[in-house]
Amino acid sequence: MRLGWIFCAAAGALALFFFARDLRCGRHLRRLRRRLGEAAHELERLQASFARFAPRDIVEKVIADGLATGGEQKEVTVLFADLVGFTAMSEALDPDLLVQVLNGYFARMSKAISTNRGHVAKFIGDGILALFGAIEPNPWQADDAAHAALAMQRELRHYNTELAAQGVPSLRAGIGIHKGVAVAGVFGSGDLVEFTVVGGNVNLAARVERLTRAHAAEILVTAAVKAALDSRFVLRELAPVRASGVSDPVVTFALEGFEAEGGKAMGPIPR
Amino acid sequence: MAPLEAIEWEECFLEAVEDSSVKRLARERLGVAPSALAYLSPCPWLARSWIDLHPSQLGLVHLDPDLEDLVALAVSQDNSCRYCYAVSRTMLRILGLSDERIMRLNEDLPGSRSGGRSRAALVFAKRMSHADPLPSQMDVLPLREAGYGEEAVNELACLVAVCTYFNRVATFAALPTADLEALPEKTVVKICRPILAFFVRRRRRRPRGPRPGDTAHHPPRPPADVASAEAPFACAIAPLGDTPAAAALCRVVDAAWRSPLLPARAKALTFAIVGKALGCEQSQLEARRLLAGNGLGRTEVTEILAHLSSPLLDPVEASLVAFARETVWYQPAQIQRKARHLAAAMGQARFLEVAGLAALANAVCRLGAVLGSPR
Repeated sequence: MRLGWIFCAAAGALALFFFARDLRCGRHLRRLRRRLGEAAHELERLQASFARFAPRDIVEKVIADGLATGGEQKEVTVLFADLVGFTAMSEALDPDLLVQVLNGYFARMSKAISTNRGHVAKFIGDGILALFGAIEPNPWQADDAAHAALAMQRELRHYNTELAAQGVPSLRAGIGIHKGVAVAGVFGSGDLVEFTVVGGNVNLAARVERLTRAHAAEILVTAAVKAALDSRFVLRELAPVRASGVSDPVVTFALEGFEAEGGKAMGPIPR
Repeated sequence: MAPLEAIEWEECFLEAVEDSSVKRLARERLGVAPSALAYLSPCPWLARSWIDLHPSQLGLVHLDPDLEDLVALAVSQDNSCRYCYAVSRTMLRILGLSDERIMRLNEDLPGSRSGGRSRAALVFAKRMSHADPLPSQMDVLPLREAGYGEEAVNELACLVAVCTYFNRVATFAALPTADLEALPEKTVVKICRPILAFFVRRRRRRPRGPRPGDTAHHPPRPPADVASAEAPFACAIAPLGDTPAAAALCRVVDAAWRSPLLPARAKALTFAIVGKALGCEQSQLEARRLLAGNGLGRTEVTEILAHLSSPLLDPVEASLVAFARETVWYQPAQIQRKARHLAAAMGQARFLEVAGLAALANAVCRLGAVLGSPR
């Protein structure tokens, strides 16, 4: 009889022990799963955020294989914008005001670019490198880049009115646009990486931007861009000019506007 | 929380309009009337397509129903469609998958499911859905190597095309997601889950597709004029042969074309623009053929496609052209804001037709590219 009680008590204690252990393990497992889920969620969120700045397949490749992923040749339209005479202005302005002025400029220009389906690849000092057709294929990339340049010009005019009210001198930007094949990929090392495009056509876009000073024009496009543009863009042909690093003289066209007539969309549909 | 719930999604801007006949039809055919029908009913063919193109109505006899769910999840994730993702997630939860398991599927959809066959199908589904670039012969080869026959490949391509269609309609219309996303967490659903799973599985064991003799609701074969080579985009659907899926797709395209809400020229333009954005030659050729029959010559079409504008376009067409190009790759909230403007400008019914046409164009172009490519 007593042996029976002892046996029952031992069995009960054993059952209690296993039950408590299972409970603890279950709790531990749930905690681990929750953490795994949170980590997965965070990764997904980061991936989604990064996918706004680089093509999704490249993001997936980078996550899977690291940075040792290959580049891709793409037809892109490259827009370079630079502030004319900003170096001299920056020496005269208070550093806090300088940062404020430059950030205001970048914010407005970035908006003009992104609403026209471009993406800002990087800011280089006071310069902007924007790409059209680099993230996803875009058969209308030249038109988009030209519309973006005109929108940037309009935004800058508004911004200059605001700056004038604060007693800050007006900003003037030169914009160069070129279209061609470039290598797109994630470049960099260690902690500093970026998605961008490289190649002769990217360099040519930068050279064309520099030519805005020689031609005293605000927006210049190359013959490759002109060939792809809507005929309603107003262009003025300029004399060929030698540009550094380019063997032949570069033929450029000043972009002066867009004749919006007919085919007007109903309602305020954003571009 | 499932990752897609973090994606920005606008408030639905459409008014819900109950249509009892569509609801009844949905209950008869699907067993349940989806909440989306109330928002889509101002455009009758669009509401009807929500039933006709439901995977259970396509007679996909060569695909495992569990794989269908995973494909729907993968495609809705690729298109960032919170509505369709919530539907797929709810179905998977009812069938017994935990949220952790679904989350792991999200992390690495192709790698996390058991067999190589499923993996190949999911990789293909994501590739076809994303369409950057359009899938080709090379993308079908792994499916063949994994043991999928011609019919199974066709069915899979059809399923992905239909999912991209649903994703786009749900996203452009910003269908409300809150109730669907909360559904799996409801106590009553948790308690009834095994019973619900039993009924879902039992329904799936029934012969799939339209019931024999159900000619009033869903004729098993498209009529001759719809299935003929002259019907809009019949060339993209023709490789599906004499299947319920082909019949359903032909019916939907035909109904969209016959709808009086927008002129045929505007519809063909939508297909042409989406075809151009995707780089689909076949769809562009077909759209050009249709546009030629509606008074737009080769030169005019080339000009419109090259620059998305022309003095020849009327205000509705100009709006539609601007919207259609955005429907291939997009951020949900951004395109929903544009859709809201469009709906305010042209009215709910016509907006729904534009959204449906753009979604249909995306589906048909992808399908044509996969089925039309030599295998």
